[in-house]
Amino acid sequence: MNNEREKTILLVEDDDDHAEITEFYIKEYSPEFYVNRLSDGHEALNYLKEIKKLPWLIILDLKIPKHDGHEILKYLKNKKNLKRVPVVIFTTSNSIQDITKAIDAGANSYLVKPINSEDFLENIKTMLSFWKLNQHGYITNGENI
Amino acid sequence: MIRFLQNNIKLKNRIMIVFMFSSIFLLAVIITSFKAFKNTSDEFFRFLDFNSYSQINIEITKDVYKIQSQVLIYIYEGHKSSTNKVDDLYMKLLHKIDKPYIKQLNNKIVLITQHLKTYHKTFIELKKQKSLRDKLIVDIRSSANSLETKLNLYIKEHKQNQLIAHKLLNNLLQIEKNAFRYFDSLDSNFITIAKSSIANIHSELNTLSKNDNSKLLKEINSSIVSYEKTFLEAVQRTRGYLYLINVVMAAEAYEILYNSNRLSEELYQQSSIAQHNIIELIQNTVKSLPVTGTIFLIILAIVSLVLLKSIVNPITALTKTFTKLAHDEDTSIPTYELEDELGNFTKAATVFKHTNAKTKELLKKSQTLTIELEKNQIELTRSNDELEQFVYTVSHDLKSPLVTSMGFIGIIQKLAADGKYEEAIAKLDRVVSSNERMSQLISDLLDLSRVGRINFDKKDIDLNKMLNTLKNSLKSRLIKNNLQIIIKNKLPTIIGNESRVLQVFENVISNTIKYAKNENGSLLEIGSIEEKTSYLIYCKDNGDGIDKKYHNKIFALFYRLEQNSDGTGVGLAIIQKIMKFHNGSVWVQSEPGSGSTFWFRFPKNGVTEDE
Repeated sequence: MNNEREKTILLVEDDDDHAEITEFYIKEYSPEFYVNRLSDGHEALNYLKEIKKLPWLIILDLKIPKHDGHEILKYLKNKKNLKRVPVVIFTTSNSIQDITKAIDAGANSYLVKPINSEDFLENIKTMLSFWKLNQHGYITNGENI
Repeated sequence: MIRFLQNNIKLKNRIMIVFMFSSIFLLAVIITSFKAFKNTSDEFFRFLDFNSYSQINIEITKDVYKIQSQVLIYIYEGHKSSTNKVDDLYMKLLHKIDKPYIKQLNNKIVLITQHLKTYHKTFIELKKQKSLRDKLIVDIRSSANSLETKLNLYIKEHKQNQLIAHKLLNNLLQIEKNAFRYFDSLDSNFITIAKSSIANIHSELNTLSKNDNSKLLKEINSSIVSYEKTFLEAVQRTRGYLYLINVVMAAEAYEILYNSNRLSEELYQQSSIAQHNIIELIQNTVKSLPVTGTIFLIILAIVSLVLLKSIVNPITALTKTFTKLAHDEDTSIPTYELEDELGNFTKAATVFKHTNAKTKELLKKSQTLTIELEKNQIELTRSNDELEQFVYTVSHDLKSPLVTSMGFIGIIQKLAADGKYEEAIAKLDRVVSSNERMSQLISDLLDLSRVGRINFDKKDIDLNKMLNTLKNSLKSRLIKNNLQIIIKNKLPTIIGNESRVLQVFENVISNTIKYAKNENGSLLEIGSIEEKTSYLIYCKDNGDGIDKKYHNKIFALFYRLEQNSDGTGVGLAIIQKIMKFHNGSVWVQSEPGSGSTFWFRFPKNGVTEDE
């Protein structure tokens, strides 16, 4: 039912190099995913406010300029249509505060940079299967797992 | 007294003294009252005595009359029982009046006793006189009888003189008759008659003796003489004891009666005086008792009040003091220089106050310490947070190029494995630049840390000279980046560390090159303004300017307005730190589109910044 091109993954990342690397691995895993990259908090919020088609996955960096990742996460998990989309936090920070805050806010996964490609892809796969289950009504994201 | 009560005497003793004083005073009042009562009662008993003995004259009078009448009975009747009665009555009366306390009451009784005794003596004399006379009367009888016998004999022998002899006998009888009448009635007329009869006898005898010279007649004559003599003697005796009765005894009786009357009067008067005295005493007592009582009460009240004040005032003051001390109010300790219990209280208050003050001081100190501690804690927390934030930022920003380089190495491995060698080699540049960036970051961070870590010397810096030298040394770089530096006015000499201040301006120029590019040629204008206590240096560029909301953020570590510029985001942080170490400050003034001006304030004395 879904067009291959419509398998979108949203990547919120300010660092061009990091974005390029992430995109490379996703494409390696499955070229059918389209990675939509947003480079700062402002851009991300504007995009999310007027989103028409839900992405399969959102990969979110916490340390981004103009609204940090936590704010974006909060917005995502408080919006009715968006909260079912799995969110992977992908950041350099391994501080317990950031991890707790993100998990409490409803992040589905938390990955610390740098990470090897295998671990990264393993996680992405899991998250994508979440979405599949979700699509079939087995899982409601957020509060009712 | 008040000082005495308030000074140096223990409270207990003070109360005792007042109590004793009151007791003594009360005792005095009681004794006075008792004395007054005793006087009154004594006087009253005297009054009773006077009253009872004022009636004594009646008894004396009665008894004197009784004695007198018995005396008269004795005189006229001559019964021995009468004398006994007189003696009896006399003894009784004497006994009646011979009482010492009557003597004490009035000495008239002594007089009365004397008179009574005299009376009785006289009575004894009277008895003697009377018995003598009675003997004489017996003699008269007997001599009269012998004379009668002689006369009768004479008449028988001398018939011729019978008539005269009869006359003579008759007269003799007359004498006898009148004599006894007299003795009986004690009427002196009978004596006169008897005396004339004697005279008659004498004349008749004379007549007889003219014609008769007989022996018998002579005998008769001598008998008559002795008879007359005895008669006269008897009369004399009678008169004598009559004198005793009528004059001496009567006078004594009169004296007794008179004195007893006087005694009565005097006793009555004395009883009146006693009565008067009693009334006066009672009145005095009635008058004086309330007065002394009132005075006693007033004095007692005053003493009690003084005592009370001396106790209550210090106690009240001390209570106030203690209450205030307990409420931790400031108060002075009452200055009672007392040696008593209250004095100890005062000392306690002083100790309490000192302790209070000490506690207060300690509390204050501890509060100050607590505040300091809290402050320090806040400061520590803040600095901890800052450090954490710093570590967080540093780790993120240091990690970032590492992530990039590791990521690209992973990609290169993948590409190499897939045999895409050219692509892999192309990616190597990315690893290199990422590593270079990391190296730059580390050196910048070292720079920053050095600012805080290394103690640097301060000296006078001629900014004019320094900036001109800097300008010259950067000449080629400036030309390459099309940047012109204009020094607006003669810059001041400031106090600071030369290399650090140089670093500030190097960073400013470097930032201008990186972020304030102008298509038509970049320009950096440097000038200064002198203020009262500090110099303001400004560096104005003609770049794009910075939005106001980023004015503070740009000084934060690793903050970059443009993510993909060459900068590490450490330069302005270093500038801010250097300015802080110079006791100065840095801020930016800018509007998007009209360039940015960075302001630097250096305090003139290099120590304090006065804004």
